[in-house]
Amino acid sequence: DDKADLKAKLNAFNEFSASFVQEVTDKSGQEVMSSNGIIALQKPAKFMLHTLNPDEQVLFCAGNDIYFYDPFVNQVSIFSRSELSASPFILLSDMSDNVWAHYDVRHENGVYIITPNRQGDIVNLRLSFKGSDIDTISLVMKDGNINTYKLSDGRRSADPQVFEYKIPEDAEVDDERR
Amino acid sequence: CQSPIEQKEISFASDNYWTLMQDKLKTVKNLNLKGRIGIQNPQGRMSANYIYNLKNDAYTLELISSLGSQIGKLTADKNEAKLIINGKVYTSNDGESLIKEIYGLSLPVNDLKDIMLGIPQGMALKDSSGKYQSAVIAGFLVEYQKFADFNNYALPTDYQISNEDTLLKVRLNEVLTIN
Repeated sequence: DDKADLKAKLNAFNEFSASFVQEVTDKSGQEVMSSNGIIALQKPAKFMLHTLNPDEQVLFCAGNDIYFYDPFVNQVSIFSRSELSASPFILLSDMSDNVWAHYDVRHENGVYIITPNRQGDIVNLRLSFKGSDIDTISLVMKDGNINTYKLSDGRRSADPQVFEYKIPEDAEVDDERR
Repeated sequence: CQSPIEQKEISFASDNYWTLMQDKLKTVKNLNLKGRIGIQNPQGRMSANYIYNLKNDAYTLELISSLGSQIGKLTADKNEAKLIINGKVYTSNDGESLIKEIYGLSLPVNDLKDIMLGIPQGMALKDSSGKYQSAVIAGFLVEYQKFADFNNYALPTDYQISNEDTLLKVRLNEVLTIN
């Protein structure tokens, strides 16, 4: 069962951190956007995707909520963790069955293809491993764009400070929790 | 894939540097710029990555979300403008009226080339060195904060475009083509 295999791989570590280079390509394979930053996770509930260049952006989990802070417009959007479409990355740190029940998993040519049962902007999430470490995370978007995070310097540990991010007091709050 | 032109500080500007530069910028026919745009109005705030492509009189402005999905793609030339959103196609005479029709936003889209090149036409204010500080275009105030050199073209890298209820913040991150 591909889902069980993938969960076993993800269960092999409780903490993980790495640098990433993000590249978005359109249907013709043309690069439309790129960035870099750091990604970290700590089970059961901590996750951080901190884009540093060219423009800072911060996506992290705290408790039952997902926070997306955009310094460029000084706004934080808050989603509930159950709003998985807000961030499929949650799957990487949350192994609970009720979360994974919303996804189908297929293993093809060394890539795990995770497809949400409820279609949204994201068609599927693709994970590939180098040995037992996550190597690439790709999001295939409904419009044909592919958003790929290529990881490097992966470590089976995460500095606790990586998960701390102080949102400015004057940030606009966009509360998307239902 | 094309690598971006190196961005350098404008270290020394001779007396007529900006006048000569503005004349040079008026001759630009091809542009490929990438950056970030933030929009703030009574409906809320959002930001996106933009790609601006100019070939003579035709331009394309594409907005991409942080997750990588296309928010919208505007293509226009002297005769027509076309906007693609989620696969649906909308057309009008020009980009400005199309954005107004679809989003209810009036933005100085038809003047975007001049704004992005830092040579705004219309009522403008220059500093003592001749560099544009601000300009009023189509009812919008354009304020330039920073410029940088890209292969001997001085372009604004940080500026904002605002009127009484809308604030657009624009940052230029990459110049892939300018000639």
